Amino acid sequence: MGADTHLEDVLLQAKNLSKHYSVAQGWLKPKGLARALDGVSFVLARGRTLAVVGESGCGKSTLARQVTMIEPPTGGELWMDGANVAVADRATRKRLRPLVQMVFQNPYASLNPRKKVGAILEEPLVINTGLKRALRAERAHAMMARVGLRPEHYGRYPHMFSGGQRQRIAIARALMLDPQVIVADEPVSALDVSIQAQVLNLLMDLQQGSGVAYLFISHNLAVVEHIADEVLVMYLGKTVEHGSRRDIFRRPLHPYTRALLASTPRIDPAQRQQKIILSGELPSPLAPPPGCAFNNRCPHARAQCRQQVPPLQLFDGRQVACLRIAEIS
Amino acid sequence: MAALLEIDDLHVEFGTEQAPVTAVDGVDLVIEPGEVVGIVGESGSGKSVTALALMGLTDYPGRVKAAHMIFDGRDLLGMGGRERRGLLGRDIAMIFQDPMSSLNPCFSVAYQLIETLRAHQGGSKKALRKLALVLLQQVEIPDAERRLDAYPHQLSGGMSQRVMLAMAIACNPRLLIADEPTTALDVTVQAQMLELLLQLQRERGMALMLITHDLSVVAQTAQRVVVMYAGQVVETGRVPGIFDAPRHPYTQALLAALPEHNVGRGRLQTIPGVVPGQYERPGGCLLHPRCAYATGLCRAARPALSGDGGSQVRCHFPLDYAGQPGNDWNRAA
Repeated sequence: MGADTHLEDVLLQAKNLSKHYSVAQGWLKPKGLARALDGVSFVLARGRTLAVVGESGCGKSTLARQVTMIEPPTGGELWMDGANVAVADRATRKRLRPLVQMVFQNPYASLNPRKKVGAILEEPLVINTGLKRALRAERAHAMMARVGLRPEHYGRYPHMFSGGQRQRIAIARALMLDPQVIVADEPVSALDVSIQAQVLNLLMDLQQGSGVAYLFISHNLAVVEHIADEVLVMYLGKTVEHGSRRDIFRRPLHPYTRALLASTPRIDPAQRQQKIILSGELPSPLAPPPGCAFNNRCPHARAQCRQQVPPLQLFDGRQVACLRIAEIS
Repeated sequence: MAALLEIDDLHVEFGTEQAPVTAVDGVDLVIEPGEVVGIVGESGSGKSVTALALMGLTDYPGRVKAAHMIFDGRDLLGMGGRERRGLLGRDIAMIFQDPMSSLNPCFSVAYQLIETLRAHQGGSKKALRKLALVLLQQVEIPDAERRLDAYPHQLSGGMSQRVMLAMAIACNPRLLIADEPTTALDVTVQAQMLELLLQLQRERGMALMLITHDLSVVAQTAQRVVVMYAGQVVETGRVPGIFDAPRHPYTQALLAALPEHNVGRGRLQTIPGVVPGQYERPGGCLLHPRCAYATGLCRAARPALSGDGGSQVRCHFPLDYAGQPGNDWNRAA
């Protein structure tokens, strides 16, 4: 949370948000518990971008599903517009849903191929507002202009567009209800470099114009470094490091954050950091290692890391969950 | 030193004879033994089609034409199907982008590994199984013995890609083609995979053709880079020279669009427009509608690839060291 965050600007607050899934492991076997999201807290303020970073299976998409109210959390609180979503009734959730919209990773899969662009953009209005047809079309045209689509695109089908243009349509659809928060799940990772830059610019322009906040989920640290105000690094459902972009990129502290940054390929040899090649892969969330979840891949792990779960604590201006942080930083 | 692979004027066309769609348009490619060559380009640039043509895997109705395509002194296009298949998988091997879909889900890892070995060198069942185990160990799969009898669905993405790599190096290939080998993997696993690829490449002295859209992966691994755009090679050059001073406006613009090169700046630099589709290739230089330096000449005439073997560029006004177009561009513009 930056010092310039005022209370009235807070759009979304998660406190200890958890989502545990019970997983069938076979006939007569006890059900397993996958802690896909395990006690994550953050604050999202107007006009800010919070990037959630981590490898597949770390719980970033589960987090997105909680924030967009696709699923109810199993624990913790999620505050939005004065209501706690975790315990809210149907009517409240229906009222809150238009405030949070989503942009998906793959624009080839997230747009209905049987609908024209106009119908795709107007669908949120049909469902959530009682606007007349002419008014809806007017709104759709205005939104198309904002995201850089031409008026004649209104009557075209998604297959007639390139990947970058489709992602513009997906972004336009997310903006139709004038949401406070947009959850963008890997919005540029399916796009080519030259198109990626166009879409990132568009996202930043739209934020400046409307003050929408982004929950930006990505594994691409170069993109995150460009767009984020704050970064939340997740590992196996837990926050391992959370702080301002500057702090995290200038001086990553958690061994996992350091390894992530060191693994990111760079063009400029001067920017390449000393290689930290992690052994192994993300453990199964059904059977996380005891103690610190990262201990079996961590170059700094000691016996205590295998016994004690590290708490998230304030260290050097950001929050870090590491038992040996004082020694290794 | 004789080149390991020499492709001259490769054309790959799809569609009908009357209205062909040119996916690869006159690509020349030379790979020396033991060299790591990166091929970069956006989607639709023809980089994968080039590799598939080299492997003889172009699907009907694709047509492959080339002045010549010589691997290790043997003409790939002139030889018969049986001879060529004998070469593929043994001397030239390939790994693909999506490891999950390139393994057969119905057979165990051991079966699929042994299948490759049996096809190319043969041996007793026991000996082959032992060899398969050694291969899995070489690609650093933990607990290799147990993984031999695992099925693909029991493996993670990184693990499957390692199995693919084990299959590819099974017969000691001279050339390994890796088509986006790390795109589907997480960053930390990507770093492991690239490290392993380079380690195997050094140990075995094999040439590596690394196809990717990720410029930074190439910058960190390749010795030489081939940049493709809309089916053509637009620039080739050594690393890091090509990244320090690109000579083609497209390479320059691609590099400038990376977030890495825009740190602290609000907006990213962009390349306007999109890669032209197969039916909308412009006349003249293919890049001219998107190029910041395009002149009348660029709109009228398609530039040829010029320069020596080390560094080639397809541009009427190649950029100088300061990143400005040369060849009297000022007068032409």
